This record gives sequence, structure tokens and C-alpha cells, in this order.
Amino acid sequence: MEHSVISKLTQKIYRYVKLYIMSIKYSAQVDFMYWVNLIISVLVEILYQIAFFAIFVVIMTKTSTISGWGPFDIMILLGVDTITSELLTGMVIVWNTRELPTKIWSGELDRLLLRPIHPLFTLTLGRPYFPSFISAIVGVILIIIGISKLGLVVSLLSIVGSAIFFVLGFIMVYCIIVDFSLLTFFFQDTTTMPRIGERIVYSFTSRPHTIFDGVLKFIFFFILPVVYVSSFSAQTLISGINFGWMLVAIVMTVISVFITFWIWKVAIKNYSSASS
Amino acid sequence: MNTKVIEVTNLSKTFVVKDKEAGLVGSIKSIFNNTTRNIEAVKDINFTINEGEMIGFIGPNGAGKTTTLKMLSGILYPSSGHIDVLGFRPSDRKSDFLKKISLVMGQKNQLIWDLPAIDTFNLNKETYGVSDKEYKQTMDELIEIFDIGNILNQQVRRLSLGQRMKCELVASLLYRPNILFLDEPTIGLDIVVQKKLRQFIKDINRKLGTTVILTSHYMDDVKEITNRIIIINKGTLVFDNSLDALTQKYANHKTLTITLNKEVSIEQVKLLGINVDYNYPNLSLDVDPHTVADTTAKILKLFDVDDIGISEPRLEEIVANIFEE
Repeated sequence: MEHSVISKLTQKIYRYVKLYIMSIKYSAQVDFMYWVNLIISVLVEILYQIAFFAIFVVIMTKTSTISGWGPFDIMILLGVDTITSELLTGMVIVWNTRELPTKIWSGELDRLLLRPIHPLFTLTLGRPYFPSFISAIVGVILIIIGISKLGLVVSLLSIVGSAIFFVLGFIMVYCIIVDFSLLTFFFQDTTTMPRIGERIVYSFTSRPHTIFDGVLKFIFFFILPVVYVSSFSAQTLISGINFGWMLVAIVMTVISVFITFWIWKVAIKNYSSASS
Repeated sequence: MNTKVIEVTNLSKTFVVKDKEAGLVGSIKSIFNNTTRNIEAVKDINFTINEGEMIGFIGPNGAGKTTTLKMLSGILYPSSGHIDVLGFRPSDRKSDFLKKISLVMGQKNQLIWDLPAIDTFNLNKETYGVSDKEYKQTMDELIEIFDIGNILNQQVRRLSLGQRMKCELVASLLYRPNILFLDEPTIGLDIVVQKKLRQFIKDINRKLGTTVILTSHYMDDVKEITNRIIIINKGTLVFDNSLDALTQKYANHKTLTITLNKEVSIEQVKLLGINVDYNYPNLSLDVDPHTVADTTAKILKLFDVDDIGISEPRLEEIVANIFEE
């Protein structure tokens, strides 16, 4: 019985992964068809990251630490956050959640509802945006520089722990963006909802979690859990795993996913489609 | 034995719409005074459909046809009533249900615009979990029926509307759905392509045994494809039977078309029927269906007739009369 459930789940995951790989392949085909656009977009993304990093350098010349994080600790944090924001932009935002209001108004959602895969998958991950994937490499470079400057010997356990925090945190910020985007179903005349989620995530994932206290700590740790993806991942690379917070992250991820599916259920029940 | 594939019981759908005055002032007012009203798109309709039937689902704009199709396919939740499609409740959108139905909307496409149609077909193969063997067999069959072998690798944006519609149908059929919902499939197509498409749909029904439910404003689609008509008007089901039954019930006249050898006076003709159109030697007039034989005999006796024909009113006319009622 248990074996059959696991086997079904494995098959399901395999099918979704296969479909996602196909989506990436087809998106790449389309992007490479318009290769000049692709090159310009990649350059814009990389320049944005460089500009962002320049601001960080200016800040760090004026102050030695931010809430206990030294310049190269912050560099690692920014590296992880670059990967976070670029993957979010590429996987979830550009062609997916930002397009959600249009898909609802135009009735394009109808077609997605007829496919035997969860519509949230197609709506929020259906079409990746390639240039962001490429510029995520900047984040990897920042992490490597930061680690070598600090002279850290990162253990395999820390890498695994960091990866777990990253995956859990990524799911949580994905849920925040999707939750706000789904509010479009209730306020149909707006493109603002997806932007609110984006702004919250982009604005706060790059901050060290130690700067938050009191109400803000409660909000960013438990209500809008944005601190786990970049800050806790970076901290794990720097100073090892905190198992207590990892447990909290697991619980918060489960709650976030549950809330997202609940909002989806209510939203789709109220969906009125578009006139034919 | 007829197997029931769709059963609709007391189905209703009500939409809540916002009312807003025109202009900027109206927009500002609507912030403070949120006026809404209910629109009953579908009102308490009942019908059943058997396996392999070809149903024409017709009605004027805003009658509730598309809303009904969307409820049958699971896109919309009904406000009340019960729907059973192939043993499933459509609004649950179970994977096994979605693999058994297909909805083709003439005004919306599912093909990936920038890529060749074959890429959408391959994606649908994975989405619907079609095995390699089954896919090859079905595709060979569909490519033959629709004659699209030469356009499979052509970018969708470069296909003509007719070619695109064929590819839409192939994308919707490659997993062999038991039920095919067609919403205005021939809209925007030229007459030749419309005719071919109708033939394809009939072929699909014959070869694959697919149940077809079609909405269309083109009565030729309905006449040529379907063997049963469901008419819906203002959300209410007003007729559900064969085309012949429709004609018998609602055709309140037959038209006599006559070619005369010798001119007669218009007054003489007017005594025989209504809607007289006389331009010697051609004469046409509408007569009561029950008196066709008598009137024909009278005309043959009174006039020097070269040719005479009797025709039923056009389906468009009958349907328009029902809508006006």
C-alpha cells in the first residue's frame, strides 16, 4: 500500500520534471529564435547585478559590519540572493505570474484548466525566462569570491544544509509571490497584485535575518517568510547548520504550500472565465 | 444499447457583474458605490447525451451555450444542479476526466505560436501521458485524415487559419478523447475549409467513435455534422430533438417555387399563399404545410406551369423564429 503511494508519487514527480524540462527546451527554442533580444536581455540582467554589487561596495566602505555580518559574509549573502532573485525572475515571474492577470482576463486560463496537470504548475512555472538563468552565474561567482576571501573550508554538511535552506526558502518565497498573484482572481481589474508579492520578496530576501527584531522579525520569519532562502542559506555556508531553524523552515514551507493551494481552490471556484 | 456519457440535471449558472457609469466620474463613483447585479446565464437545464452522438448546441449570442460547454468541461463551477460526464463531476477536474475530453475553441488556440505544430503535439503527448506506440498510431491516422503531413514542421505563426484549425484539432485529438466539445470551430474560415473541416469532424466520429458536441452560428455546420439539436435561448433549453423534428415542430410554412409559361395577375397569386415574390416567369410563395397538396393542385389547374418545386424553410429561418418567440 505504502509502496504503491510512493511509486505513484515518484511517477508524478518524474512526469512533472519531464514536462518542466520540455518547457525549458521549448522556451530556449523560442528565445534563441530571437537571439538578439536574448543577448540584450542577458546583458541587461548582468549589468543590473553589477550595479547592485557596486552599491554594496559603496555601503561596505562606510561601515565594517551589518548586524554582525562582515563585508565578505555579505558578499556570500548577496551571491545567494542573486541566485534566488534571478531564479525567481526566470522560473516564476517574467512569463508566468506577471502574465497571470492577462491570462485571466483573456480566458487563456480556460485552456490551462483543461490539461491533466495542476494548473498552478503551468500558470506559475510554465514558461521560463532564459536570460535570468544565465545571470544567476554572477551569484555563484560572488559566493566563491566571498568564501575564498574569508578562507572558509566549507564542509559537505554545510553545503547540503545550505541547499536545504535554499530549496525550502525558495518554495516559501515562491508561495508568497503566487499568493499575491492569485488575488488577481478577486480584483480582476489590476496588474498590481503580482507586483506586490515580487516587491516584498525582492526587497527583503537580500537582508541579513539578524537585522530584524520584534514585530518585523515575526513578520519576516513567520507571516511573509522571506529570510530563509538567502540569509539562512548564506549563514549555513559561513557558520554551519542551525537545526532548530531548519525545523522551523520545514514547518513554514508546509504551511506556505498549504495556504497557496487553499487560495488557489477558493480563487478557481470564483473564476468566471472570459466571454467567448 | 445506448451508453449515457453526459447527464445534466437542473443545471444553472449565475454570474455577478459590476455596473459602472461611463467616464472618469463613473469610475470614481464606482469606488464608493459598488453596484452589482446577477446574470442568469444558464437556467435549470436538463439533457442527456449518449456515446457517439453528434449534438448541435445552438442559440443566439449570450444564450448560454459556451457557459454550458465550460461547465461540462470543468472550466466553470455550476451555481446549482448536477453534471455527470463519463462518471465524473467535471468541476473536480480529475486527471482521468481531463484525459477523456477535449474542448476546441475556434477563437482561442493552444498551439505554441513560435514553434512548429509538431512541438505542441509532442508536449501534449507528455501532458496526456500517451505511450509512444499509441502516439505514433494516432498521429499517423490524424495526419492522414487532416492531410497535414507537409505542414508539421512549419512554424505555427506561418500557417493559414485553416491549417492552424486542423492542427488545433489534431492537438486536441491525439490522446483520443471520448468527448469532443467544439465551440465555433469554423469561425473565420472560408467556405471550402469549413466544408472540409465538417467532413473531418464526421470522419473522427465515424472512425474513432468520438461523441461530438458542437456550438456554431453557422447552420450548415449543424445540418451537416449533427444528428440532434439542442437549442438554448436566454439560458433556457427550448428544444432538444432531431433536425426533422425541429422542422416539423417549428416550420410554419413550405415554400413553393414555380416557373410559369404564361403570365398571370398578382392578385390571383396572392389568393393562394403569403410572402409572394413574383417576377414573371419566376414565382415563389409560402403556404401552410397542411395545404401544400391542395395548393399545388390548384396552381397546376389554374396556371400554365413549366416547373414547380416544394421546399422546407431554411434552418436559419426556423431557428430565428424560435429565438424571436
